[in-house]
Amino acid sequence: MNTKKLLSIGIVTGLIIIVIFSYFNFGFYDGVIAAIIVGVIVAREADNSPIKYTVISILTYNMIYWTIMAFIDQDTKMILGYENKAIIGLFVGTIIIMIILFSFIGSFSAFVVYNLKKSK
Amino acid sequence: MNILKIIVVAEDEMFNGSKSKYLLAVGGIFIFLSLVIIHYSNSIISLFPFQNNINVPYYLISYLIVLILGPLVTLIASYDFICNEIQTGSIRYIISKIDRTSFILGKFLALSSVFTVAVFIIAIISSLYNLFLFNNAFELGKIILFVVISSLYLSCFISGFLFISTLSPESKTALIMSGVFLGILIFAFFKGNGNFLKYLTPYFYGISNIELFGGLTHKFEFFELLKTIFLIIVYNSVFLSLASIAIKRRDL
Repeated sequence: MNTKKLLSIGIVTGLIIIVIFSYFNFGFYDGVIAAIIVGVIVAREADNSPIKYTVISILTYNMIYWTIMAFIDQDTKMILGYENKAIIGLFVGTIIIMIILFSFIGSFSAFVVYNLKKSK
Repeated sequence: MNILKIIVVAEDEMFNGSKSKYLLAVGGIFIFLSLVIIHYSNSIISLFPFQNNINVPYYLISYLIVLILGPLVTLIASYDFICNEIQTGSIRYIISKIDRTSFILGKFLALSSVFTVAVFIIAIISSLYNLFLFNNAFELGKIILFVVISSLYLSCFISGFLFISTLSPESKTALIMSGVFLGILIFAFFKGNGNFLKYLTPYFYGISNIELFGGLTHKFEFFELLKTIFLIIVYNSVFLSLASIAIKRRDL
């Protein structure tokens, strides 16, 4: 499958899952479960280097999700509009670290699924 | 699966294999680092305004060394234990005579044995320090408990790294993915306090037995120890089964 299709599948699936889970209010788990599912789907579809595609997909859909949240969600708006810049830095830094960790988890699941799929 | 074949693979890996010297060297470095840390842990006392006759908890310090340093040392020892053989093609000579599950279990047994011996030597060192510096009695029960719990704890990591090594096409990928796996485990341990994520990490099984070596034995429950050992065995079985499935599906 070509790069464009693979990345769009990963990003759209991740966004759908993360939006659905955010309604159920799972808290921290929604990101972990979404990363694992995206890793599995991308690894099943990819012909080569699934880890690269998974990491790019997870970084992208999380960025899109948090950008939308910054415009829509009242709590996020309140934190970003706070006068103290340290709080904004802490909030953004935490999100970036979480996104990197989610991409770690997703890449690991993609690695396992891809290598199990490849050797039959 | 044949127990005799497993023992043959393990013995070969420990004494005659291409990685035997490397494995023994890593075990030796682990013991040496532990000895250095145990020796200089005396200076911990000078940090506190206690009276002079306080005992240094050597068993607790040794257990903390195993908890923190052990996973890293097992990573270094076992990240390319299988993928290196697949890469060089030497696995074909073994696989023609021994079935694949026995091969994986033999590798696991070799690594576990080396680290059990290393942990046993660390326990002996800490008990000798206890004996000569503070004239405490030689506690054989504590040493056995230390060796059993520590080696079981390290075997969780070994089985995980063997699974990754079985999946990886080359050593570099195995090293990176083993590091990622360790990172995920640390992350799950810190985030999993009070929820199911903690059961996915061997760190939790290690930490839950720390009371045994901290002098707080009255809080210790025998049922908890049995539960931890059972969970560790389940954890090992899951990863070894996955490694066995992975190597059965691979083209060698």
